[in-house]
Amino acid sequence: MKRIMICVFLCIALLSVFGGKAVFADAIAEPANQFYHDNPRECEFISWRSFEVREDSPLLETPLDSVKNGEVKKGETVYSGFVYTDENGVEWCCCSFWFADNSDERKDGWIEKDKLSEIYNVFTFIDEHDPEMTDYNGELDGFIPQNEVILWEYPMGRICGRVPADKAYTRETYPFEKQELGDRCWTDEKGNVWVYIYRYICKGGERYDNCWIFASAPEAEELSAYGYDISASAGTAVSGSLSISEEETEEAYESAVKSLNPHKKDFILPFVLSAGTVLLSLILLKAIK
Amino acid sequence: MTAELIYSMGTALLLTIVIEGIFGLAFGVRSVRGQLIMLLANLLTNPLVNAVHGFCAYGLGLHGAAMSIIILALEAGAFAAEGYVYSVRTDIKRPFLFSFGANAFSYTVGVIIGLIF
Repeated sequence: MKRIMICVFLCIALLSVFGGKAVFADAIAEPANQFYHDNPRECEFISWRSFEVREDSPLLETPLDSVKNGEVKKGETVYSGFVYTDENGVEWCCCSFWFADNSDERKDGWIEKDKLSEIYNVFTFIDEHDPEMTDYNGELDGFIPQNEVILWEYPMGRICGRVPADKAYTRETYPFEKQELGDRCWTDEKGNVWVYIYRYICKGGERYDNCWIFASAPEAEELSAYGYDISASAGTAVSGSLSISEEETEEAYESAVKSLNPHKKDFILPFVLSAGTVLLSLILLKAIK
Repeated sequence: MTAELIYSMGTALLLTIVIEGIFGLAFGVRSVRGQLIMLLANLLTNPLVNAVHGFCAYGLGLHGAAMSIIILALEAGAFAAEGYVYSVRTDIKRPFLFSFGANAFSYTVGVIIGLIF
């Protein structure tokens, strides 16, 4: 017991040198900006949100100096999940920015929050309507896809995905441990139920995070028959205080959402390196007499 | 994203080596050779365990009981492999018990550090 306690105290003392990195041995730390890595407790997680840039701004390596990591132009869209407040009370967003050609190249950096306008998105909707949301209670269990399941960014918002019927799971075929097709529900003022799905997984492995299905008509693109006067291609704010940026394209958004999680190909090099370390250690272990 | 994954794996490996090294010192593995073998045993298991863990969690999106089972299987495999290395390359009297203790210790310290910081 004494040895174990000594070990624990030595480890805590040693690891406090790292300044509080929340890394577990035998576990993987969450990927983030290096400044965030160094100051995790000072950065508030706000869920990934979309912002439109109000004016040409540098993308800074950290909010504390002027080292640039790139530039963003007025009207472009950035995505941020963390906010840091400096000693002067200025709020900075840790942003990820994809170049306008929708390539996979991504830049991360800090931008003053005052230079950004939040774009209404699924997290904004959830924050606004969280008290009204209820647990999923089988609202989609009887649904058998016939043509194409429509996924919405948020109720009465933009379409963020279309899943062909042969790629969609039903209640009976859903193979995952969770065993529920949805996570939470929201009923609008017209009595229509929307189902929120944290992670919608398709047959074949493709997935959509943080999306909604219109439970009354999961395959309907046009909702005017259900009391709404929006078209499928345009978005509208559920609350009148925020607006949608017309600059943001659906392709850029889907690319961004998918890029927030690692692609399977991102694991090739880590697996190759780990195989290399296995080989190296076996060789060295054999060599040690 | 690949760079971030590799950075995470490297950090986890380094921490594991340090923490288990301290465990080894406390429980009789005080020679340079002994510590080196502990380092190599962790080099053998830790990166691969973390790569598989990360792929299942972030690449496949697994969670809940499925993920818990996978973690258990990975940790069991790591403990068994490291125990075998200690049994054939060191004089540790109870190599598998030592391996179990070292892995449990590093995992627990990681949890404590995460809670404290």
